Amino acid sequence: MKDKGVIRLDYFTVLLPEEETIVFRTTIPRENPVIDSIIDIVPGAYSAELEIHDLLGVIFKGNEFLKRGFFAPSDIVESGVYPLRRG
Amino acid sequence: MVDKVIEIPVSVEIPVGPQHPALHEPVLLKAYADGEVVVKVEVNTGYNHRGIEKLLEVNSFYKDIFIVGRVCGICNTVHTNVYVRALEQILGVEPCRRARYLRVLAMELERIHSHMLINAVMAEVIGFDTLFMNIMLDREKVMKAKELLTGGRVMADYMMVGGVRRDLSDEDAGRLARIISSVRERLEYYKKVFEEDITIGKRLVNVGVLKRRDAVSHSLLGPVARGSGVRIDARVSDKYDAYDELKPEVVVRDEGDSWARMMVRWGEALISADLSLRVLQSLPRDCNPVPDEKKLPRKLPAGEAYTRVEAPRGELTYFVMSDGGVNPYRVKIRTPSFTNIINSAFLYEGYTIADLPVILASLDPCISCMERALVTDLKTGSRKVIPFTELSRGGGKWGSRGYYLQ
Repeated sequence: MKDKGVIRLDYFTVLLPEEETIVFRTTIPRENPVIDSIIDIVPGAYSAELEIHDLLGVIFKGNEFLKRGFFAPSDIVESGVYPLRRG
Repeated sequence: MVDKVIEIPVSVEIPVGPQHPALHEPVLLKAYADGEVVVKVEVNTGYNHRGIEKLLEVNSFYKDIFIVGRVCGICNTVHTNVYVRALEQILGVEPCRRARYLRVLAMELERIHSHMLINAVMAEVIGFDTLFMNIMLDREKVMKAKELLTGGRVMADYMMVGGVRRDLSDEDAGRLARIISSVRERLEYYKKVFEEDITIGKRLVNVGVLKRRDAVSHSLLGPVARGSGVRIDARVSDKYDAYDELKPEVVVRDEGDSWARMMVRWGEALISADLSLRVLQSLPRDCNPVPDEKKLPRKLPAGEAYTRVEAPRGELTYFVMSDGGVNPYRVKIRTPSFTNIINSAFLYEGYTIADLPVILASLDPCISCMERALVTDLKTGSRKVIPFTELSRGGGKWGSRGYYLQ
């Protein structure tokens, strides 16, 4: 989404018991990628939010566990690069 | 009063996902114990980040089929299957029935050997080495069956856009049926062993109890969720490939402990064996399942695809996005271990250190090598590395009350 200057976030949700998949789609600006965390509603989003923060630099407001280096090695963290960002 | 905290970083090798891909994947469990009781566990990741998703973005769609197969050694067939189905969705290609049946056969064989492997590992973790050897011996038969079908004992590279890489002759189908029948008898025997053996029961029953509510809210998947009474199975709900015709039975247990998770796996392995035999009996002959790759377009049309597959460890999802070029714009992989291991740190709390490896193994993290634990005595500051299995057996210096340093 580099042309539009946004980061798109898709929340894939599987609803039990029918296992229907519902996608919540939202976009946030690249310059200020901040969005409210859903970890208080869905604790299962913990791993996903940590991963997206580490690799794309999205800040989930309210998630106290956010940290760099969840996946990325320390040299990448020190250089301040988000590996999966385009452009 | 807590007057001593023993920090135990347990270094095990597990495949958590493409972010830390492949088979030999170290993860660090930092366990904080009060005496023998675990009070807190932190899961530290990032020791083997290979950047597979980035790699997929710089290679062509067709090369990526082989890269996603290398995400995980044990479940390479499901990874390629779910990726190939995403490409088929974007392209609008539909494989014929014979190809879809053969895909199911390959994936079910993989499920049998994966479930046998983790049950063998569990036997080893609780100190039952003979059972480990026996299960691994019988697992070799399944590997042989997989070799007959796909040509590769471990890495299959079996899936292709629009079909599979090689057809199955009638002669080989007969051999496969004989192998699977003999494995099925052994699976029944092992299931009985896990049901009736007193030692296994003592180590697994009521250890790592996971409530249904926690399993759902923490997004736990696969046999872990099904062992807690959550009926979730992508094979039944998505009906991909030939599962709409074969209709597999879903094994669900309500106990929620480590034992229930292992029993779900034995039940599923038996059903997979039955399913494989049914596939071999009713293999359609409607077409040649091996497509001509040269006819496929080099560039894929712009579009997105989201596919799910029931991997041995749970639901595996892929999101593939194409912008009309030769390479994918974005491939997102979410593996079942990614949520099952990272989100389940709460599961260890309240159990003893000797239960920690049992609970971890019951989540199927694919422990494949010698694991080690680091025990730190905060009073003296000394650190000692001890084998993970020795810790789990509760014997010797580190077991039982041996290191209760008061």
